[in-house]
Amino acid sequence: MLKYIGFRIFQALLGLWFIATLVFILSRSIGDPAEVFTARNSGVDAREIMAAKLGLDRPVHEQYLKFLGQLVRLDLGDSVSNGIPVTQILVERMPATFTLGLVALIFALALSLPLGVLGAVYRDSAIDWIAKVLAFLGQSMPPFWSGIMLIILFAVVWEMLPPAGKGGWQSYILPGFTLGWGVMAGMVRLVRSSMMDVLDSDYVAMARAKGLPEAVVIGKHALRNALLPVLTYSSLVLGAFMNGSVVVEQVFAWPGIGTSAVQSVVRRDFPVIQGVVIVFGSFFILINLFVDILYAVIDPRIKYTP
Amino acid sequence: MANTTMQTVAPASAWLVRVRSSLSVARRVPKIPTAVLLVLMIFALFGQWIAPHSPVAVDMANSFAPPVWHEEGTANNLLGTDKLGRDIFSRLIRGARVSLSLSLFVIALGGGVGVALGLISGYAGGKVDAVMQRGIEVILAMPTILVALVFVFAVGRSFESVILILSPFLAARFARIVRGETLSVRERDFVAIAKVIGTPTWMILLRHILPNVFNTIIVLATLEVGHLILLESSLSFLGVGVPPPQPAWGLMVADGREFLTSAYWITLFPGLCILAAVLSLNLFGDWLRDTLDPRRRQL
Repeated sequence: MLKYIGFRIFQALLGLWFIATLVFILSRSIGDPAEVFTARNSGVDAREIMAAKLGLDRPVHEQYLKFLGQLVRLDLGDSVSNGIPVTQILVERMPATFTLGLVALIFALALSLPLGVLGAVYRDSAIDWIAKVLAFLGQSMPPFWSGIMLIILFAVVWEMLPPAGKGGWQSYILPGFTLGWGVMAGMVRLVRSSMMDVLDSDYVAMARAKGLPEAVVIGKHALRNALLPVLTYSSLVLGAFMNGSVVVEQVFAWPGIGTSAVQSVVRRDFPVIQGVVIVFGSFFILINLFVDILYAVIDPRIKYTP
Repeated sequence: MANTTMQTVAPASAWLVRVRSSLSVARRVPKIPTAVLLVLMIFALFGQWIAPHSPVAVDMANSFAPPVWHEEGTANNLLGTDKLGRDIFSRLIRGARVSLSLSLFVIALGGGVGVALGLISGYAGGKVDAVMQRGIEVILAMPTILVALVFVFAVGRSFESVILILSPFLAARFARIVRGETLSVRERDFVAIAKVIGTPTWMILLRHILPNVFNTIIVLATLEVGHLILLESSLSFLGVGVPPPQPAWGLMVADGREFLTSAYWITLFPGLCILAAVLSLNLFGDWLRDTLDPRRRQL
């Protein structure tokens, strides 16, 4: 067990190192790094200062070690468009992205748990069909477009909810639902199929044979066991949200990390893009690590085959 | 009934049975998704002859023309025009070519590499397998859209750069699934026999293993085309996809965002196209999986 966890941590570190190296190679191969890391119309002075800061007169391996050293100290450089340290920008924008992801997860769970369970209990009934249609739509709709359509309906036509920006709790509904819908599709299928497996098992038959009320059998005996894969999936989903948040934040002008990534591409603000990729990538890897360890702890059948 | 009599009475007509059974499979094809996909393919192949206007012809005098069912709408622009007076319907038709051809290129490139890696990784096992799987996990652990943003930022916006950056992600997904299938096929008797009689490894992979994982590959490819269309349109929407004036659906949605209240049609129709394409691919892929590969319902 410890060996397995140790191995997974080693692997995660390897992944982090890989992403950092990829970013380093990219930053040195786009063009003159001094130009890449300064604003587009900055003068020769600014570029020389940047060249000195990046150590461009030093050999590549020294530059690389310097880059890694700065990373470890969480120094991601300054934004070229407004001079604010990238770490500060990311820390300021992180909460908005995380709360949006959390709201989306709540939406996804609140929809997929009842729909999946009822779909498994009443197979091929109306509710099973509704679940299927919702799931297929969620899987097939481009989130940027469904977001815009929701804005038209709920903000423009019915004027029930704010169209964009982050404000009161109402402002979380549309972006949260847009982000959650795509993920809900996979979840409904998972809840339904794992619930069906459990319902066919011996201990559920046993519980029924004891004459327990059906609600207790489903709620207590079946659902609890069907939830394990769903829990694993939900933590992985947080990773999927990072991908989706880039698009959804853009649609709803949400002041999160995704928006700043897109804005920096438009402004050619490389230090910020670099920071976002490193932060998102690390987060992705850490979530995967966490899930794997959690899984090994919960399910003792997972042995330490690396 | 008829089938069984034929089989017992006249074995010579076994081919007839086979034709009949494939016909009966064909009859169960999901009709609407298949029709949608056929129309899209015709648009992609013959778009320039079907489209009533050039997808890039600017006509400022005719900008924001509404669709034909509005009072001011004309049959000249069935689905209206955008802010530059370009015909939405013609742009949608040409957009089908952008989305489909890009996805097919990625499937060919990424899928091809992925299948090869999966076969090798699963068949070789041991250290080769372990190293390859770690590499694949690292790729799968990266946020696709963000990495694509950075890559396109670095190499510039073009049809080719979108294909290049999406391919590794697809290759990783293919490799993982093909590897899993290969692991089980590898243990079958015919592979052992082929090994015993001295068949070279590449021949075992191509002649004995590949045909047995082919169904899985076809199903996966169908489902992944839909996934790729979503990714491509998201990138276009964010402004790092196929460059304008090429009419990509995602870009058209982005173009219409400023005019949501005054000209909804610029945004509505391209989104519906993406939805129709991806939904049809998902439904068709699901059907294909149930028909070809019933073991992998979880795919």
